[in-house]
Amino acid sequence: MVRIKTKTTGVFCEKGFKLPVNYRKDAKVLLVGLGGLGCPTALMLTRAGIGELRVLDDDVVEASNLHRQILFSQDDVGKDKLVAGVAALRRLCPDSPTRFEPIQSRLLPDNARELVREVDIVVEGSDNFATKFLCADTCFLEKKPVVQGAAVRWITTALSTDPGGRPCYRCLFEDLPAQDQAPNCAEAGVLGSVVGFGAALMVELTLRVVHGCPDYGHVYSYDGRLDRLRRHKLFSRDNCALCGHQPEIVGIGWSAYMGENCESP
Amino acid sequence: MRVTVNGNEHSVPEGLTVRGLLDHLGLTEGPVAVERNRNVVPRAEHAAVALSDEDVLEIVHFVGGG
Repeated sequence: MVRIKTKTTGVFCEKGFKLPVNYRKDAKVLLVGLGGLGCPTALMLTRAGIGELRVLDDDVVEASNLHRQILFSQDDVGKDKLVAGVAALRRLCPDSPTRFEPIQSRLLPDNARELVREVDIVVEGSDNFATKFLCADTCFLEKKPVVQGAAVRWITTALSTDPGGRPCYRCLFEDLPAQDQAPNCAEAGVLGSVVGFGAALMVELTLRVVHGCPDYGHVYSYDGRLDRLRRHKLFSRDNCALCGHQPEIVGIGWSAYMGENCESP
Repeated sequence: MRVTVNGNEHSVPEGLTVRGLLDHLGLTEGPVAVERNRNVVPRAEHAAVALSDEDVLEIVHFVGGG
C-alpha cells in the first residue's frame, strides 16, 4: 500500500482505504477525563482529524501517572493535565485539523446536561464509577451516543450506547457499587498496555459512530492475564432504572451519584 | 453439571449459586456483572440465584478506573 500525505483525513492514511460516505469529520467530541484512557484516546482522535475535541479534566499531572498517561512527561508533573495535554497534542499532531477546547472541570450533575447537549458524541474514560453513571444517564437523557471505557489492573472494558436507546450502561452495570468492592487505578494500579488497549477500543467505537456504522450495545472486555478479548451482545433489562419500562432516572440530581460508600464525581 | 461461561464449558458442582461460581472461578477481586441465559442477574442476587445444568453465563468485569 502506498502512503499518501494528507492533512485532513489522517485516519485514512493508507491509499486504497475508501472513505465511508457517512464520515463526519466535523464531529464534536466531548472527552471526559484525560487520564490513562483519555490520553491515548485524545491522541488517536486528533490523528484521525476529528472536528473538535472538548476535553474535560481538572486534575494535575502526577509522577505516578506517567507510565500510562502518554501525553505527559516528567516536565509536566504538577501542571494541569489540560494545559500539558493540549500542548502535547499540538506538538505531536501539527497537521491535524482538530480544534481543541479544554474545559477545566469535572463532569458534574450541575454541568453535565449542557456539556453533553453541545456535542455530537461523548467519550468517557473517567476514573470513578460516579462519573461513569452520571455520563451514561446524561447521554441517555440528552439522546447522545456515548462510548464508555474503564480499566483497572489487567482488565479493560469498552461499550458504546445508542443515543437514548437500549441496551444501556445500566442494563448491565445497574448502579454504583459499594466502594469497598470497587478498586480504582490509583489504589489498585493498572498496566499502561491495558489502558492503551482499552483506549484503542474506545477510539474504534467512536470512529464507528462518526463513520455511521456504530457498534452499539456490545461490550468489549479484555483480560491481560488471560490474553482474551471478548465482544458480547448485551440484552436490555425491562426493569433498568434508566431505559426500562418504568424508568426511575428521569433527571440529573446529585443524590444518584453519591452512593453511601462512593465518592462524588 | 455443565455450564458455559464466556463461551467456555465448565464442570461445576450441582446447586452452585452465581456467587459460588465466581468464587469457583477465582473472580473475587472486584465486582462483576453476570448474565444468565440472556438476563442480567442483579448483583444483590448473586448469592441467592442457583445455577442449572446447561446455563449459559456471561461475566463482565465491572471496573471504574481509567
